Amino acid sequence: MMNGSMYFEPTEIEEALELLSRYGNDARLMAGGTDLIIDVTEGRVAEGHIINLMSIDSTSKITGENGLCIGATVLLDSIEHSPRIIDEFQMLSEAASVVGSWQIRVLGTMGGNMCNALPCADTAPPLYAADAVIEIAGQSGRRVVPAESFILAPRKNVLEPGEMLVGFRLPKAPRRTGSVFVKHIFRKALDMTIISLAVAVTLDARSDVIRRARVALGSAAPTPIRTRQAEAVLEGNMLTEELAREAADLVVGECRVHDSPIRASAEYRRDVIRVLARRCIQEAVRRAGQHERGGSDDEV
Amino acid sequence: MAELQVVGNRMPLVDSNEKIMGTAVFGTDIVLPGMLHGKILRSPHAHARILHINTERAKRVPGVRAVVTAADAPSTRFGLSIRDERFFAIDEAHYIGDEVSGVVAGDEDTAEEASRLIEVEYEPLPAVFDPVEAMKLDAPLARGDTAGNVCKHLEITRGDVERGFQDSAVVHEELFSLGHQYQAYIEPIATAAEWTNGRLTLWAPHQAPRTQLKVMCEAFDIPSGAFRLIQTYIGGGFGGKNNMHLCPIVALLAKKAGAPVRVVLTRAEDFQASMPSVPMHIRLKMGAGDDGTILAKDVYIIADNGAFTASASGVITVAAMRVDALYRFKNVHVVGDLVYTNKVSTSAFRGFGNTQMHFAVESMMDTLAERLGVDPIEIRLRNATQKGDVTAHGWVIGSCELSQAIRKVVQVSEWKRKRGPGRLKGRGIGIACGMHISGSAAATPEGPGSSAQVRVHEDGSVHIVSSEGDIGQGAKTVFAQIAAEVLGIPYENVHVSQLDTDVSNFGVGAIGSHVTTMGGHGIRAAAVAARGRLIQAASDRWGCDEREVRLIQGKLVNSVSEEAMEIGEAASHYVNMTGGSRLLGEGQFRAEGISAPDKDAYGNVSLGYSYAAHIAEVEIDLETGLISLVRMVAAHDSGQVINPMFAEGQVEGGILQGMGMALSEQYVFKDGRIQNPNFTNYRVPTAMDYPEIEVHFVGKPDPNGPFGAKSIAEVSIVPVAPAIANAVYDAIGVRFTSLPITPQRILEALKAKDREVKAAEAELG
Amino acid sequence: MMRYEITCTVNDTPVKFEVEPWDTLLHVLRDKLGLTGTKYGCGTGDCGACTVLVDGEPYVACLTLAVRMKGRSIETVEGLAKEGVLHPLQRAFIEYGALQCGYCTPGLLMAAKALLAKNPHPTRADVQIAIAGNICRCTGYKKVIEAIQAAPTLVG
Repeated sequence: MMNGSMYFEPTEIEEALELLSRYGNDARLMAGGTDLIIDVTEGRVAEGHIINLMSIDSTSKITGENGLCIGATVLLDSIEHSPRIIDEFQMLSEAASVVGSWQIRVLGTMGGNMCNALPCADTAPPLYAADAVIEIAGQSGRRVVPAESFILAPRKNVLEPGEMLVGFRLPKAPRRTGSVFVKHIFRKALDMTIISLAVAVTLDARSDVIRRARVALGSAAPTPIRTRQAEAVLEGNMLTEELAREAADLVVGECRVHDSPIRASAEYRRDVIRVLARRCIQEAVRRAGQHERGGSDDEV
Repeated sequence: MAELQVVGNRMPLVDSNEKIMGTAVFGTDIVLPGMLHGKILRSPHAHARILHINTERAKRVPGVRAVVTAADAPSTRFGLSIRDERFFAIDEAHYIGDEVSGVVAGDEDTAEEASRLIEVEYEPLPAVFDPVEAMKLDAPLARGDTAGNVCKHLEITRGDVERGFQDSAVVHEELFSLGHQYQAYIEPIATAAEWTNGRLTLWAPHQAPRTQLKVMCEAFDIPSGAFRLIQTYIGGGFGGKNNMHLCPIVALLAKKAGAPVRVVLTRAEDFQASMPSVPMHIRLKMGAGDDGTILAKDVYIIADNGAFTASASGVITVAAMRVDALYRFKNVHVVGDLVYTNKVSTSAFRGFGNTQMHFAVESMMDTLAERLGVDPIEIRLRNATQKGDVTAHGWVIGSCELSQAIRKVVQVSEWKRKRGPGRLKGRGIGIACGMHISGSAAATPEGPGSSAQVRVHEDGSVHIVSSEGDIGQGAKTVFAQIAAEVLGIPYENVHVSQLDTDVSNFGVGAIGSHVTTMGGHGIRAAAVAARGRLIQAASDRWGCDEREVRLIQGKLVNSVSEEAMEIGEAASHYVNMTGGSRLLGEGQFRAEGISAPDKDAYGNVSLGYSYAAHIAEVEIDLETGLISLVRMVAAHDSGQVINPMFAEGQVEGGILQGMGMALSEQYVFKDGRIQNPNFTNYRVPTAMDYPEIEVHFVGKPDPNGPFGAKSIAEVSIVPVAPAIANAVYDAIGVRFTSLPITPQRILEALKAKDREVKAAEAELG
Repeated sequence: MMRYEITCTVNDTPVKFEVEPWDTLLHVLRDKLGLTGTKYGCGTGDCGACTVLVDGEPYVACLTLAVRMKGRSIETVEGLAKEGVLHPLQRAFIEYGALQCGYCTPGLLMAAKALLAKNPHPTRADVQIAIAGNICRCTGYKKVIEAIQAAPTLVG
């Protein structure tokens, strides 16, 4: 037990950064706290000075005219129910809706989910599939990294000492875009993810040719990943059963799963990835197709 | 018999208010004045000699009151059956989690901090984790204080098994494997202890207080009756709280600290150091005649005892014998070995070994049916035990509606239609039957029965002092209904006291499905005795003959003068006429005609036998293996159901717990360490996993049960896993002989089948 | 160790307590305020037995820092009944037999209350999602779901 742990509740990002810099290794940035408190209780992380980020107004909102800005401390429950997110990035709402339980979703944040940097981070695949970028603030100013580059390894993210994640920017998706997220678990709730998949597909304005495809997975490699070969084989083509299967095989090829006696074997995961990738690609195309044809490809 | 007014009705729990308002005090809630907190240091090694323990640094932590090891404890051995437990590890730790030392401090954090400063020098020893390996001649000893790893061997033979197999049209043999199932009660194990003037009082959420006290007295080597246990509310037991190793430890900590001490296990500790179900390998061979009659059954059980025995000795016996009351088995032979391993101790879990064996037998019935070309329903009806049967082990079946239960679930589930053409791919339906004892004599070998007291207070309220307690299953409610029925008073006027062994009679508690059956008889006897005293008091008051006084609808009535009196008034008069005695009815019930099995394991063991049939419907995603339990239809013969609402609740809960056993729950071990000691990775069914459940009661009053009642809480889990396994077979033609049936195993099996089919086609083509 | 004085309301009553930064709300409720209705089940947010409402949202108190409760309005099971009159959810649970051992009941009641405040007529699926984080080992969930759906009809 650490002597003299302190608690801070900054209301501005700059205040938080100042505290972070002052306390260095003893600083504990906390959003929902659901992962961090368990880490401390179970001895993986020592107690330290708590910097509670939930009073910072500027990171707690969903805004944006052209695309979406989601603050780091927006609750998963809010992401799940946000009408804009449901409308424009359905896969993200779906992912938020299956993190833990309702109790976890009203405490937890996407910022926390990503900073925890686990391969099973459920919000990662949709962020990757949305070409999201992550806004980072540090003493020397702001920088932006692709969401895909944020997680380096299990429990290791790209933040340098003195930096914090402040927000997510998702570029506006073209009109004929459909997306879907699936989390594969054995029970119907609460399990740690065995495989998760986010697929976003944009169809041509006037035909059903796939103009753009994004396929991202969680728990399929040491970090969440995008599978670009599969995306490449889809783009420029109309979806057929055969093409979906071909793409799904490519997805499997790009994954690096391992055996987990508690969750599932590598072989099972590959089998499930193949099936779910095919189904998700088909579903994403179906959802995209629900937007009527017409107009130009530049329309958003 | 007059129509029942209270018994048989859907009464709310008699302790509803305390539970619903959050004022019920559970083991984890006990707070005593001056109470300190304890933490336990546990062995990180599966098997190790303890060379040296240095507690000096721990003792010096400010706020620490005591640091205790085996050196501070009596060196006695104790245990429920085999005396293989001790306070703390003496010179050898037997499993990862074994208690090595305890710290008492002003708060839990300080105790925890201090426990990390205890220095223990271990010498790791070879460990054995697999009971089959442990039985080999060259296997290391799991415990250095034993001569061998097999701590119990049993063999029972009835009839002529060899002849039976010879006469069989079909013989099938299969190896079934059941792993550990964790009770997963939501309240972790906790105990508080206080010594006053050399006398110990324990507060614990314990299923069987008297049994624990007997063990405690052995442990401290003092005469029985010296200690007191107050049963708190219990947040679930399921067998896992019928023997708490924490009790002697906390008592010792309190003694050394000179203050009351409470220990609450963390959930991770509870996973690692409580007592899950007994894993078994069951090699089962059965033979059937061409009409489906089972002609022979041969069984070999290897059971994993873990590091300590507790109830496992009884569990393997039950596994060996109890299922033989399900069907009219005549020729049976069973051998069993209970084997020590360096893993968590295994013990009682709802069903007590009967669950494990039913999985094997009920799975095999389907296989035999298929090989004979007989419907799974027909083979069961053909063999079903009937009322009046005397089984191969001499069990006398006073009532049995098994056949009716089978027919009921077949009808309600639309079995025939669902097995017919036009069914959806991946859907399957399966049946399994089950039985269990109801008031077992094995739980009280010294004299099966139950005693209780019913007091009538001057305000007319009735207070039950039960010796059997309530583990959250609704025992108090059943008792209140019985007392209200006998006395003709409103259910709302009945109160049931907390079980305090200083106050109540001696009871067995929630083991051997004892509570409703035997406990109910005890309550009834006590209520009848109270009624007698009320009549006595009223007749004294009126100066008339007792035979003129009746108790009708809660009022005493003089049938001659037509005067009437409230029972409270009679109770008041009783106080006056006796020089201050409370009006107390003392009821004693001694069960006749049953006894614990003799040395030949023969003889009627239980007052009654409960029966059930469950039909499960599953839906499997053939591409991912994901399996949903869609529906469960259950029909139960529990005689006269005392409270249908809570009897349903037992079946509904048993189905979810059985579903977990069948589909998702398992300990994952690596080198003796549990890898998933938490609710994220040990998968207990959630509300999202809930299937459709329908419960039907088909029982007729049992001649031996109170008001004709029989047990339901344990039998409700018994048919679930085999019903699901049989449904899976129906859906995809794969027979799973071990659990859980996870989506991964389903997909692997489907792929293997597919390869076989393709290979066969290639050969033909 | 730094201590912080926190003022908030618990069950409509103003409350003040002193905590260290890493003290959980569960610890404060149970051990400082003596409100033991909220239960310890796992300490890792997996079982829901410690569910309380914080400004109407269902929080697992074992993962909620007490120090963050400044100015917040906390509701526990002890606050459901008003002057001895049970809340409709409590009445429904009793009537429908939705509790057996009662240990998970407080957490379930609070999650259910939060649900009904947002969705007064939940479907069975809505209820299942809302209470997915509340593990019950006794009831099998059937009567719990029925009670929660029936509670709105018991008002008044």
